[in-house]
Amino acid sequence: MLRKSLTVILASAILLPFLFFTVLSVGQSWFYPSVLPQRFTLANWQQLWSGQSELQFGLVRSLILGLGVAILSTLLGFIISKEIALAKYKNRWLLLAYWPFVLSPVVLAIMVQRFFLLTGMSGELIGVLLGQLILAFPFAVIFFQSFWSREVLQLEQQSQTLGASAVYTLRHVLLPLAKSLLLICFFQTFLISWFEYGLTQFIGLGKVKTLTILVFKYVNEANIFHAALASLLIMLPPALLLWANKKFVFRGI
Amino acid sequence: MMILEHRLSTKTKRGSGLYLRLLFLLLAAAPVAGGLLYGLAYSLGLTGALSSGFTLQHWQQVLASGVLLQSLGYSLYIAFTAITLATATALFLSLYFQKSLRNGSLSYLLYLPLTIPAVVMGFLVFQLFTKSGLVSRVAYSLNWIPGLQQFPDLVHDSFGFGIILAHTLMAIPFLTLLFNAIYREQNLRQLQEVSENLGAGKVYFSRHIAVPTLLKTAAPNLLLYFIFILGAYEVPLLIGSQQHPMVSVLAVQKFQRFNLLDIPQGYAISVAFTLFVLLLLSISFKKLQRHA
Amino acid sequence: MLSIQHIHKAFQLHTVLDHVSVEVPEGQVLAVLGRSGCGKTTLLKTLAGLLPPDAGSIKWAGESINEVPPREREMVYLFQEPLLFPHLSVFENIAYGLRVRKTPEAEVQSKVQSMLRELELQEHAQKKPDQLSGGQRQRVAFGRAIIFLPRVLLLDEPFASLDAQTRSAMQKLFLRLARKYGITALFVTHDVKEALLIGDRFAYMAAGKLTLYRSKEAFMDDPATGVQEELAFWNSIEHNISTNDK
Repeated sequence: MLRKSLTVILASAILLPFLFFTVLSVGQSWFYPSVLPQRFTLANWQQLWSGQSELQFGLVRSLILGLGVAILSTLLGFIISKEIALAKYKNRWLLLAYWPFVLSPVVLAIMVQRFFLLTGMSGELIGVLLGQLILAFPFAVIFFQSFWSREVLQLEQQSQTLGASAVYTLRHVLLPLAKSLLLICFFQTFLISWFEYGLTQFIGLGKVKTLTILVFKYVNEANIFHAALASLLIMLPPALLLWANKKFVFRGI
Repeated sequence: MMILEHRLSTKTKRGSGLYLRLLFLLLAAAPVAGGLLYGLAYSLGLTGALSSGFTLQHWQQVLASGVLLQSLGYSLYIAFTAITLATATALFLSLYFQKSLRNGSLSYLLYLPLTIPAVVMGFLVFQLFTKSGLVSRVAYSLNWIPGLQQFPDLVHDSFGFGIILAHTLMAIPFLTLLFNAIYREQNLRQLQEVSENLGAGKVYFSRHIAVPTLLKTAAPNLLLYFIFILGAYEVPLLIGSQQHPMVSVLAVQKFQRFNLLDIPQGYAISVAFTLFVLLLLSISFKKLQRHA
Repeated sequence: MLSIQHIHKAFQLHTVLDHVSVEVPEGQVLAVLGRSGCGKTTLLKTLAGLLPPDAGSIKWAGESINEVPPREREMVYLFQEPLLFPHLSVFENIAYGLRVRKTPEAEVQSKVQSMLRELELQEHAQKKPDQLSGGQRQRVAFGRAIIFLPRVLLLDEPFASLDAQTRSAMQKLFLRLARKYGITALFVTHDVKEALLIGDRFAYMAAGKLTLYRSKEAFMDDPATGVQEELAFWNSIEHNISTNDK
């Protein structure tokens, strides 16, 4: 009985943010001490679909950044992780990979912003992409270390002695073997970009308005209804993907 | 011996490997190392708009005023409290809900909070616990408080209640899933059967076998998470106290005051914090590798 | 003819191959007897091109192949454990070397089918490697290696992990296929009986040095190979049995 009620409490706590934000996103005014908003409207959501709205642009921008960061860091990470896995001083190389990964993104942004200013990439989408890549790429390198096991390396050699070229081996042996890991890494690096705020704000100079930047902006404007909608836009896509297949998302590092 | 052979086997195609390593250095190590050097130079007055040659003045200001140490101490307090609370809760959840985590309703539900980034969590905690937030409204409608002024200060407070809560809430699902994964990997279920067979009760098993095993195996991840919270930015920016900024917030503040003299201090703080984190990392890196 | 001259290989200060020289005429099997750690795996990998030698030359039909990359050497190295591609079916594993060489589909089908018959694996063609037994996996690895008729097979204790019965069946299968396809092979084993059963020529390897014998008798007479010891053991048992009988 105790276990049952605890489960119910836990489940409600987990669902609360989704429910709360959904209610707020269709709210119009919410005066104290009313628990629910006084008036409801679909205007916020309609704005999203009817084009040219800030939220719509933010959504598209976040998607472009997320996909770009995920594709680049997964591909580069996969290739380079092998080089690192085989390196003579593997652990020293890996220590380097942990650097940007453990550092607070905004502190990293402070220290590298001069470079982005000099190259004219500050305030540009490409600059933010590169900045987020600095966070996501080392993650991918660390992530793929477990893939290059003895067995996989031997399979690669076996393929070679059977006459396959490096490209053939990559396409027909290594990539199929790594498929599920590639998918997980793609999703997780996508999330690194999708969730990023500090570095995006600092290098994007607030001009590259992703969804997280918009949440913050709406909060500052005390526009909680739009902030709730933007929050939902961040949370729903990964939640739906999770529902489709949770294996793609989580794996201990 | 076998490992040696593998290493040598790759030397046959040396050329491309060199470029790959260069690319790795360029993307992973160069930004941190280069940024660190630039920040150091700036904070020592060697470069920047107002540079007038080498000086320790900015570092002295940052250190003597105690602003950096205070902020670092505050960040350590927040990170330590949050990770401790989250670890304790996650241990309880993963052991108590072992079954429903494995295949019950919770096996999907617990993944859901992982879709909440720090910005959104900060906003959520604010909307729930501010004086005019949801909790206050519910308390009012239940006649627990006579008005919103009587609701306690739970955000923007100097104890960091809001920040700690937000980070604890974010860490709990992650750590619970982590413990759950370790529970399976380490075959703790079989161990429990063995332990029961030897006459130990459930509580005894949890206390003497399960909890120590989980904590030991998860230690590197707990440390990484601790470092993450240490450098937290979004949450304290949204619901932190004005008097007690966490380190990342403090560093950014120095850049946004439009006082050119503050910028070298901002760099000094960033450099000091980076070195601190890298030190923490390298001390514990050997352990990290063993479990990675 | 495969001809190896003065191959030398060291890992840091540890010499693993100490001026190894040997010749294997086409269509013959050289059995190399050696305990683990004697350098036999390094020898085979060097021949396959997976490890570069520090010195010495490897020649095929009189031409040096030192610089030829592994995939063009046509010398297939067979790992101790049958390393099958886990995501490919038995059929596709066997077809791998043909597909790599862009063999026409009809030819792939007929060659793989006849190889499957040869290996008695017809009914397993569509299975994945993890559904096979150890012996079956080793047969697939075999078929995959010989289907495109490589110059040389390099076998690294291929039957070491099999049970006695499967092992003897595999030895017979290997002999039959080796004769049928005229396979040139280096067969490394730590089992004296296996060496005697399989080899046309014989060598013994210890601490990176390889000794080649003129004949089977010379191999059996050398105390280092342990053949005499084995014979003495069986003789004494036979003797005991016959004295007990009396």
